[in-house]
Amino acid sequence: MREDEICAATAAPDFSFTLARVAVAQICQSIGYKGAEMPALEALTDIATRYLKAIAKLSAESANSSGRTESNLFDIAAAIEDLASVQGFDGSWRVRSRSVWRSAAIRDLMKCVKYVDQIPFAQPSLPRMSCSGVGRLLNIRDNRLWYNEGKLKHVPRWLPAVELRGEEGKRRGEVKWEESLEREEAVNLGSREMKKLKTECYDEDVEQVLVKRGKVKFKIGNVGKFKGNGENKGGSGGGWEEDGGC
Amino acid sequence: MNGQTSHQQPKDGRHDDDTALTEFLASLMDYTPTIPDELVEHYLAKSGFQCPDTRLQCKARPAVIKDKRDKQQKEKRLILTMEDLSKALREYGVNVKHQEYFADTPTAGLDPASRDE
Repeated sequence: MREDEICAATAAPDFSFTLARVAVAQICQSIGYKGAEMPALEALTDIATRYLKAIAKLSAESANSSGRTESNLFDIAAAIEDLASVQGFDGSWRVRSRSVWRSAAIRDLMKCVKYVDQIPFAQPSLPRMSCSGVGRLLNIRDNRLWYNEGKLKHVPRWLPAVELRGEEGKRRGEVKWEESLEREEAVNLGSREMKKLKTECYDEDVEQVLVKRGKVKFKIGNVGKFKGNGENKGGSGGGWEEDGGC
Repeated sequence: MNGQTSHQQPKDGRHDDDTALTEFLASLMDYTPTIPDELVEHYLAKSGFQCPDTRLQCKARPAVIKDKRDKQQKEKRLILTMEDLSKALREYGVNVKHQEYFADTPTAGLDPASRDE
C-alpha cells in the first residue's frame, strides 16, 4: 500500500530497527496498550534508537574531551543528564558533580531499575554482530600486539606489531585506568585514589629523558649561507639540518 | 575525572554514595531489560562508544526504557495513535508531524464546481 511505502521511506528499514521495534512494542504492551498504529510504533522506535545513539555519542565525546578513548561511568551519567536537561530534572544545577548519586536523573534511573518488572525480549537469542569487537581478547603473541584480528580489525595489516609495556608496568605497580575500572573498588574513585593513580603514573624514565636531552638546533633554508650560525632564519627551500647532541 | 578535588565533602558521605552506586551497578547485572544486549551493543558501536565494561552498556539500556515509559504515561489509551504520540512528544521537544489523511488525486474532496473536467 502506498501509505506503507511512505512510512518505510522515513524510518530505517534494517534488521536492528526491526528488532528494536519488537522491543518497543513489548514495552508498550507492558504499560497497558493493546495495540499500536504502525507509524506511531515506528516513530517511537526511531526515537528509542536515536536516544541510545545520542547517549553513546555524548559519552564518547565526553571521554574524548578528557583525553580517554573509553568511556566510563561518569561519561555516561553526564550524557544521561545532558539528555534529560531538555525537560529539566531536580538538581540540574549541580550537573557533573563528583557524586553521580546526586542528580535526580540518575536516581530516577535507579528507581526504575529497582522497581519496574523486567520483561525479557520476545525473540530467541540474536546473532552477535561481528563488527562490534567488544569483549574480544586482544591478540597478543610474543609480548607484541598484533593487528587485523578481533578488536583491532580496523588497523591495517602492514603496520608493525606493537611492543606491550603491560608487563613492565605491572611490575612497577602501575595500573591502567581501564583495568582499574573493572575492579569493584574503582567506583570508589575519590581524591584518595586519584592521588594514588597520579603517583603511580609518575614515570622515572620520563624524568631521565627530560634531564638527558641536549639542545637541538635546526637550520631551515640555504645551509651554506647560514652555516656557523645556530639560529634558524627561515628562507627558501625545505631542507633542515639537525645539529643536536646529547 | 578532572583535576578538581573537593575536600569539603565529608569522606563518609562519599563512601555511602559509592556503596550505593556499587550496589546499583551490581543489580544492573541481574537486570534484563527488554532491549537485548546485542542490539544495544550494535547501536553503541555505531555511535563510537567504546567501553570494555559491560555494566555500563546495561546502564544505557534502562535509560531508553525509562524514556519510553515516561512518554507513554501521558496518554493512556488502548491503542497508541499518532495524535497522542505527537502531543506527548511535543513536551519533550520532538516535533512529529503526520498526515491526517491521504487522498487519491489532488482534487479529491473539493466541490464539484471547482473541479476541472
